[in-house]
Amino acid sequence: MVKVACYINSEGILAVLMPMYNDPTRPAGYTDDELLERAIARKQANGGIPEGATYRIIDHSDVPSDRTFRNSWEDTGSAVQVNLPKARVLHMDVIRAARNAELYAKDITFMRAVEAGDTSAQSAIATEKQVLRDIPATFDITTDVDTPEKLKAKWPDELPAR
Amino acid sequence: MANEFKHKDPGTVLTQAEFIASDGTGHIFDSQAQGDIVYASSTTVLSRLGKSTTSTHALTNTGTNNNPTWAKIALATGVSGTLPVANGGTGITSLGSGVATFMGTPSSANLRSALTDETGTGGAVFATSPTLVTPALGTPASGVMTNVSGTASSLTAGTVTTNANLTGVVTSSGNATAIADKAIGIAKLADGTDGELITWNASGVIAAVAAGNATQVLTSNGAGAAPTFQAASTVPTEASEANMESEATGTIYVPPDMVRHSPGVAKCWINIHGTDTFAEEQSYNVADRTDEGTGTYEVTVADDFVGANNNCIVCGGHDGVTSDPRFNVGVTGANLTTGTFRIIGMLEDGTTGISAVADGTDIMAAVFGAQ
Repeated sequence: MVKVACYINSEGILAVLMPMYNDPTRPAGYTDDELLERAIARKQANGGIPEGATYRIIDHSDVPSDRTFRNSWEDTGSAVQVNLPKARVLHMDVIRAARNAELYAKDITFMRAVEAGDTSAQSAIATEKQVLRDIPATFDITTDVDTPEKLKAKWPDELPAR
Repeated sequence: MANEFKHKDPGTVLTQAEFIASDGTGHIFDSQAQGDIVYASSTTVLSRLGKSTTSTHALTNTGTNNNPTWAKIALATGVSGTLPVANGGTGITSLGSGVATFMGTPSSANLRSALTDETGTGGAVFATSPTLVTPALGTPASGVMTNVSGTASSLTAGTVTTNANLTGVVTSSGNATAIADKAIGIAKLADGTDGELITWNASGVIAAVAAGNATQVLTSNGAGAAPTFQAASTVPTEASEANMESEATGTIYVPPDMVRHSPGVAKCWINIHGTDTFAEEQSYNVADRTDEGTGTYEVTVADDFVGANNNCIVCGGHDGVTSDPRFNVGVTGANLTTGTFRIIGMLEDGTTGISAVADGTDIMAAVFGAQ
């Protein structure tokens, strides 16, 4: 079983360290476990593992395979899993980025309506843009969203499907 | 007095008729009987010796005062002379030493004692199925050794006219022998001179190649001539790391493990599978890599570089979308003197042109420079 080490890096994100077990220049005489300990020691020496940070060695297979909310991973001491509050923030960032792209597109159509003197179109677009602006404040990603899978499926209807 | 010779019919006067009686009955012995004999028991008296009722008795002088008596003949003292073979005797006057003992107790040991020129010890043997213990056979005039086993340790001469068929390394059939292929080890060869080699000369005769001097190499002299040790014309030297880094010229050979020191080859490289669980990744001269978050991978070079500058990191990758130019890979946080650099995957939004960190399917990097 391939082993990896997980720890919180200097950005506050859970990092997963894995020696390149199959590298042809792998030093001779080291077991896999010794190679991992060697990698951890080097990370500690060069600051890759922040001073005072703890690490835990886990099986590589215990690292989540779904990376949708990668930067929200946390180590509970018994499992590496998604931290749902952090994941909601990440998910809203993605929604906000998609919303921004949609606002950008509507800015173009609005400018065309201005150029055409079409005030009714301008008013309609302005209303739509306001709805988009309100999404971060109005779109509920908390109620009944208690798993990463449910959060991942949560997406505003006003935005193009992913 | 008994047995005395006396007048038959004693009276006062012995008549003439009684004296000259023709039937001899005028005198008798006292108590005489059939078979008795007369002898002189003194100078004046005749006496009667009663017959012996034992038929094998003979007349001897073993009676009182050597008077005759009937008795058995004492063979120990009563006979003399040598009984000849013709009469059932031995014709000899004495037995050899131990013969009488053997005749009394005919054992092998007593027989050996009776003999004067015997050899060996133990029991006497006879023709059929004897058991001999460590016999010295001398030189047998003939013999059939069909059932003989064991090893003759002292056979030194002579000619075997018909060999037993041998099996094993040395085989034989009749008088034809052969040695099996690949059966002769070096230890079976005669000692030679240190440093010489074995070859065959132009006549096909086995010969020795004379030992060469230090640094000489074995050189072929072509067909029909034995090889000889000769000075090498040019001996290439093994390239050092410095040779490789300076791309030195000259008669230098490059062993495979030195190729990586050439300025023209990557000192390390890695292919990271970013969107899965990092399985089946490949690398060279990489100690480890760390998933630092979405689209961010820190690589630790196994053999550090000599300087932070004058290096080149080439990277690239894709996010699994065919021909999508929006995904880019960059490098940051490179500190190759401590052997680390980060690879960042970035995905550009097609509408806003804004890029965000994103995972890639394949993230690749190669580093050039001096180590």
